[in-house]
Amino acid sequence: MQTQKQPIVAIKGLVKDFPGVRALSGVDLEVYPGEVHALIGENGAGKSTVIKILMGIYSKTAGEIYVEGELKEARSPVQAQSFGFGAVYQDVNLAQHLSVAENFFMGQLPKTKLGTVDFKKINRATQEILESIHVHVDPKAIIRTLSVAQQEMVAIGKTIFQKAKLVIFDEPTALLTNDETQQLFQMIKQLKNSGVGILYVSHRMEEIFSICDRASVLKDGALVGTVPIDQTTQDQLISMMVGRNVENMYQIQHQAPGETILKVDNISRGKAFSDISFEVRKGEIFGMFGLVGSGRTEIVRSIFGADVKDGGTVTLHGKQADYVKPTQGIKAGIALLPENRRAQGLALGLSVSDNINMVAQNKISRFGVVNNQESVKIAKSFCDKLRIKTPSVYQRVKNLSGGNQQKVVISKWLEQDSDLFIFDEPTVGVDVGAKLEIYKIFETLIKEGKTIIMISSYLPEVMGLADRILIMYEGQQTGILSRDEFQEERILRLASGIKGKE
Amino acid sequence: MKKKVLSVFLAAAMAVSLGACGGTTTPAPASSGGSGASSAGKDTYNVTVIIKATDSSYWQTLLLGAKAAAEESNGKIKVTTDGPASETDIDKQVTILENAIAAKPDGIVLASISSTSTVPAVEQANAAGIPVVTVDNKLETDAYTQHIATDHAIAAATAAADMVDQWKAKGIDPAGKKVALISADSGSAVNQARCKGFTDEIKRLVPSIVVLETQYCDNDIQKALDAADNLVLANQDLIGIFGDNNHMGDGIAKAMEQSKKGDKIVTYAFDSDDTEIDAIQNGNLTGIVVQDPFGMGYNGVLAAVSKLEGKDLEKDKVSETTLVTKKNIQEDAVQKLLYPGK
Amino acid sequence: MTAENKSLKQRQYNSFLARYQTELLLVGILAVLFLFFGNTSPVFFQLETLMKLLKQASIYGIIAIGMVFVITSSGIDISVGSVVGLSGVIVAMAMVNGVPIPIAILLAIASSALVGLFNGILVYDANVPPFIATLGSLTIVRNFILLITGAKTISDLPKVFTNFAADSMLGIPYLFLSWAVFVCIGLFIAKKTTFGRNMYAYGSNKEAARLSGIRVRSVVYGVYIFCSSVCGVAGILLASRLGNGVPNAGTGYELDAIAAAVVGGASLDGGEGSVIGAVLGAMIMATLRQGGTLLGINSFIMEIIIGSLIVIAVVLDKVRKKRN
Repeated sequence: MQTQKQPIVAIKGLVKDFPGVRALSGVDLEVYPGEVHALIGENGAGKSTVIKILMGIYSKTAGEIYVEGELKEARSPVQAQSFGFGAVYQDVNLAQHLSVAENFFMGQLPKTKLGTVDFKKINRATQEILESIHVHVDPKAIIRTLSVAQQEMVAIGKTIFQKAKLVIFDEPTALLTNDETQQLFQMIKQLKNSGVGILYVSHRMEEIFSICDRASVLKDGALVGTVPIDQTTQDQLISMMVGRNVENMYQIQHQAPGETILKVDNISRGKAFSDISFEVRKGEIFGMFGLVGSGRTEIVRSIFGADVKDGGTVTLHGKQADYVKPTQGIKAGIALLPENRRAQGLALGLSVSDNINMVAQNKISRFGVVNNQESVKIAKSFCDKLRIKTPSVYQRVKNLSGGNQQKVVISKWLEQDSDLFIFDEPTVGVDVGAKLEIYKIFETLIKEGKTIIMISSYLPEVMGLADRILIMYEGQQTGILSRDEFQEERILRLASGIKGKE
Repeated sequence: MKKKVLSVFLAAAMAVSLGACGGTTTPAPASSGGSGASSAGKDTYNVTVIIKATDSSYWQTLLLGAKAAAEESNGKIKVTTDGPASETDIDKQVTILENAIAAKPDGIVLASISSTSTVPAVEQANAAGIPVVTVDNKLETDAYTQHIATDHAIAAATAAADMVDQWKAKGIDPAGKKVALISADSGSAVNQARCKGFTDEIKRLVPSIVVLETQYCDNDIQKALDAADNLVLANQDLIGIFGDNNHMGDGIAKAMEQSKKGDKIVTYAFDSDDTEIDAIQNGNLTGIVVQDPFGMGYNGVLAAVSKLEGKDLEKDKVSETTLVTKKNIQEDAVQKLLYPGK
Repeated sequence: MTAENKSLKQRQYNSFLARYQTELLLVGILAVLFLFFGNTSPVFFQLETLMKLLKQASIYGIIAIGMVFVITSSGIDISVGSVVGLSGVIVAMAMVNGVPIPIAILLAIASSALVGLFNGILVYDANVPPFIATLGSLTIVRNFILLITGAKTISDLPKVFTNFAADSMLGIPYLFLSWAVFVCIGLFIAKKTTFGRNMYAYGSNKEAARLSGIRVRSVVYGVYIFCSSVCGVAGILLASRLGNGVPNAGTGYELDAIAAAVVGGASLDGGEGSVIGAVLGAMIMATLRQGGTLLGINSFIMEIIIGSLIVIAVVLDKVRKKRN
């Protein structure tokens, strides 16, 4: 693959200092045309800093960047674009209220003779590009109305449209389903074959092994090494990332399930889901798998009381539990750790302590007056117990890494003494090290007699952790499998609605 | 309510299609009874008076004057009154004026908010032979019968002249001392005229006097109070303050009351309100310049009628102002100015 | 994290600095202003001038405390000026009609709180954007005042009432003492009560707050009612200060209050806001205004300086937050 000697981009000794912190200390990296180059490392290792410097969002402190052999530095995103750099971020960078075509042509809208925007032209051009990469989206569709996956495809289309020579993917699959991921990989291969260089950032080892050619591993702002993928193993890469040896990450100690604590009978809610029935037993890790939008999140929100269901009944600890308000679910001992923790789980601008004490306010207050010492003490104890990495409990949560943020959310529900924990995509955007710690927390929780419902779109994770899995397809439950029935193919088939020989 | 709206529509519709027609009432009559536009006879003159804002006592006083003119005429003059709710409703006033013209009154007295936007309607009325007497605000047209207004610069100058007299009476030598101006509104032509009139006159009378930077207070009494307080603190040789409307006067008087400087600093303001009147009696405010809206309304209506009776009128007439101080405040004429209609 | 080798004291000190950076910055600005005016105006450091300054800042400062609550909850209340006017007129009308002073005061605060409740219902239940909801209230309340007073000032208030704003205790104006009381109340609610904490949580992330079991309706109602009630008190104090119930009193005060809150570090996106910051913001603005008059600086230039200060303070704050 490295037939051409000239790399598209070559970084030498890249250093970036933030006030008081050295984010990068001498990173070397080369991406060749037609190469898919993985950039991996735990959160905080410096991956996004590298990307942001390449894309002209940050300026470097020291080091050299060669673009096709020439010493250059992008001082703005626009300049980076002119170098032929394009980026697809996980939170897609598109104008939400404009159409697909308008996003493609943003800043360079062609005009008709009358001076109006030539919509025909931009729609046609956009359609052509989208078709060339097999993305079936109407160029006139407003971005906001598209699914996350579609938006991402559009973003990729835009980089192709801009004739990017280097495309950076930052966790592109975090919010995608399996099918969509496969589609994305097809597109990446297409790009690769056309001689585009790709820098691929992901936490998912399986992906890296299926599409990448080489991998560079960062740790604490320094390059640990660059290895060809066909000469390494997952464990080896993970060891490089975390700096220690890692065995099977999903190996946790399970508990023998106890009595049934949650019983769901034929619940339905609009178009989101219908006729869902299952039971969850004490000490169990109950997995829910399905594509994004298959109704998993909506089901747990209804159980918790965040949404109101239309029909069916829920029984918790033998008592009727048809909740209509979150406060009811909370009182009954349910903890909901939402899928999008930044949007729904955390008050990002507030401190670690404020977030941890947000639910169990009665423990830190009397007659509505808060005992700050007590709340700080509680927050500190959780920081120790769950190894939350933060300079202090006064730190704003937004400055924490994804894994530590997730631990803050877990703390807040532990403090409330919840006994049924519903985790919705608990490890999205969380690095390997923190994932392991979150799994350890699962282990501790069930050991303490608590029960877990875990929603995940990441099959290896559900299969590795759950005792049983409920599989969903378009609002219907297509099966409940127990551990000895777990087979990747079978689960995927159920999740895509294919009626197999069950 | 519905009826009123209907009649507005009717009047407007007639303006477009039929032209004049007897019996239609002018829109939203504020007080006076009687139909606006009955056929013009020599024994009855229907005069429509349109003010800038119905929410202000100043303009209500003008209406009182207009009505007084009607009452004294033994039925010869009938007055219809109207106006928008607030002085910001320029569009509404134009509509009111247009509807009034459509109702074919014999004469119109207009206190126009804008000096331009009512011009077309006024010119139309003039062309139709309806005399228009403008009061207070001068329009950018010649198509008016008479303009009656306070000359704010001259009125403010009378305050300056009296201030000098008061200093003399108190034995204060103003040479080289300081005076300050507190203004409600930096953007209003009227307020600017008052401040300039005062400043020019005081400098003419006492060339060595120092006029401090004007303090602008957004027509807010508290801000005027704070400004006056700070001026007094900063300037030991401050001997006079001029406020360019009644709210500024209220603030200045309050500052004098609290700092007990009422006898050392001569203070004047423009326009009257109860707070100022109290302050004059308590010595916290030396005097106020009072306009005569009652007189403007009264004379405006009479001017329109005079024109109809074929008399010649001077084009621009200055409405008198009165300087009210502790000395003359009890006089009948002054009391009538301060409490019109009582 | 880089502080691992620093001493505990040093770390605590750093954490204190980080948490109160905005406030410390404002204290710095205020100190610079004091030094500047003190050196250029011979009377600035006189006791009387300082007491006048405190008096002049008090009523704005009280309103700013209410405003900072609403802004922290990611709302905005531009009806505060009208509520100030309403409360002043109601307390005056009640007293003139022979209602005992304490009851008149309660009546005024209660009617102000009612406006707050109305705002809360519009914002929470009717889901009207706060700016629009309170813009409606601003107009409704101001015209209600004009209606009930006939646009006339209400005078002849009891001496006991009007003396309050003029008098002082041990040389400290009652107005300032009232402000101090509200600063304490505001601080207590913001820092020490579950309501205050919920306000920050709600302002920072509405959905997370709801899913955490916070009663969001009471948070929204609470901040608007608190803000309006505090403005009610400000209106009563203003009536006392002016010696009258003035129908147009308080017009435009919303802008000063928002400016004070924002200069004080409140974010219009919600989740951030500091009572002390707002107090310092109000103090800085009052100091500039007084200093401007003392030095005889042109009014227009002074307002340009104040406007620039608002922008600079906000930009500095943004830069600082970005760096963290």
